[in-house]
Amino acid sequence: MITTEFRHFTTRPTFLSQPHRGRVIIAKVVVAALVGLIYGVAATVVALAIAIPWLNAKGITLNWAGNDLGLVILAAIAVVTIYAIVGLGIGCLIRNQIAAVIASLVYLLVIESIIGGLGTLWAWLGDIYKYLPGAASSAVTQVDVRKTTLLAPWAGGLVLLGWGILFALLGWVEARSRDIP
Amino acid sequence: MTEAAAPNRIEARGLTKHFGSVHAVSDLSFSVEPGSVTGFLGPNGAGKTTTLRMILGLAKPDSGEATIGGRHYADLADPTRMVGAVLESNSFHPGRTALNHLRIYCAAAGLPDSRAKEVLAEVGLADSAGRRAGGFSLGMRQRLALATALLGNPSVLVLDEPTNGLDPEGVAWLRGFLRNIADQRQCAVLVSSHLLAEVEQTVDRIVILARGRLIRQGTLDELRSGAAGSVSVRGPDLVGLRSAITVIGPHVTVSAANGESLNVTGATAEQVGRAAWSRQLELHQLVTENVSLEEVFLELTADKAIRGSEVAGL
Repeated sequence: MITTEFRHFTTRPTFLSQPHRGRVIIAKVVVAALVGLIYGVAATVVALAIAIPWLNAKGITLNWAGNDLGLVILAAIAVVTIYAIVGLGIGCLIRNQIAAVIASLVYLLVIESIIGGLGTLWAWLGDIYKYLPGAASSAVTQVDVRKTTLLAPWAGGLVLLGWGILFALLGWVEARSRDIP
Repeated sequence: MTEAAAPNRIEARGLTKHFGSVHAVSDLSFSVEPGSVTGFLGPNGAGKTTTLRMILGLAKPDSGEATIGGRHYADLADPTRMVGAVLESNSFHPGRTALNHLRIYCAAAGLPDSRAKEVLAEVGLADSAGRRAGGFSLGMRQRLALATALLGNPSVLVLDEPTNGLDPEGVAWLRGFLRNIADQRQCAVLVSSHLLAEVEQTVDRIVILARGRLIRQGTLDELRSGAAGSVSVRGPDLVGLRSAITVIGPHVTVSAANGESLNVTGATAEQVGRAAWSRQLELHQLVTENVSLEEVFLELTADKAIRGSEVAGL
């Protein structure tokens, strides 16, 4: 959403037509959130469309009674929305598209996994791990693949929201202060 | 009546910018007047693009400032309608058609979509409106970039090496276009180039930059007259002539071009003639050797140290 602009130098006409770069970033944050929301809804619909018949065939029926399932679905959509904003912020910090994507994936899949794994050995690291973006999103969606101690879902949601705001702010500051190539 | 005070005058005051230890631009001051085309000249790496980016608010100067009509670019009320810019290399998504590319910036500037077609016609790309910009030739890309700059019908144009990739016909067209926009619409046009010959026929004024520093600014005539032209003088008594000429002043240098004539720099033909006359010396020839502007440009921007070592190496 921003790295493609840097890649094709369309940042120039963009920031020439709106030299208040902060406004451009705010607009992009809003659009990123909307795109993330739509993407999250679409992904959830597809996942349910596949999962429900599959689970039914295995003789498992989903329990829609109570709010648990609905909350998890909403949480997943919210996580995707916030991730879109985080991604935009990363793009402002790492302007090279491929580098930005690789850095994000390496962080989420490798670095946070290592920290999470070590966190089960050392309590102090586990305490830090709880507040990292990946762990926070696991807490919100209540999917704990690493058998670690996570925050309560609502707390994880707040922490994740914090990460979203932090990256949006970092992107805003970067776009305002750094030269546009 | 602040409008009368040239709302579209570009002014750079003490612009300075360095990247690490490289001083890209040092204490650069110049101005571009409405209704004129100013050539921004310098060899590659002289700091031209960096300066233009500072004028356009894309790069932040370490010190000094650049203003357009007295305001920083970011403070312009409606930048697209005020300033059009063409920077080096492409600034479009290759998958987008020329028309769609322009429509995006119409929307961003609050201009009607119809402007996109108008500017495409203006730069001679009307027939390629529906083609993807990624497939454009270098010359067409330059025209598309110019079309983007013209969207808001600006009164200031900043162009970085706009003739790159243009065929001779395109260069001639651009010349006429820039002349026209300066004369008819009273635009202030700043056009950079590393080739003087390319802009010589178009520009009114020249700003010469080398290694980030201002070397000279003024009209073409001022630049020519400030150049160290030489006078060739021929006569039977070269020894007498030489001693007569050297007393004209301390800046005068005399060298023997061959056995028959002397080459004089730092003095006019009138001064040389008068010096000969005062000593009753016979002259067979007295000629002012005009230097081309290109030579002046090379002389002003050449790195003397490098040249010297090359000569020494020979």
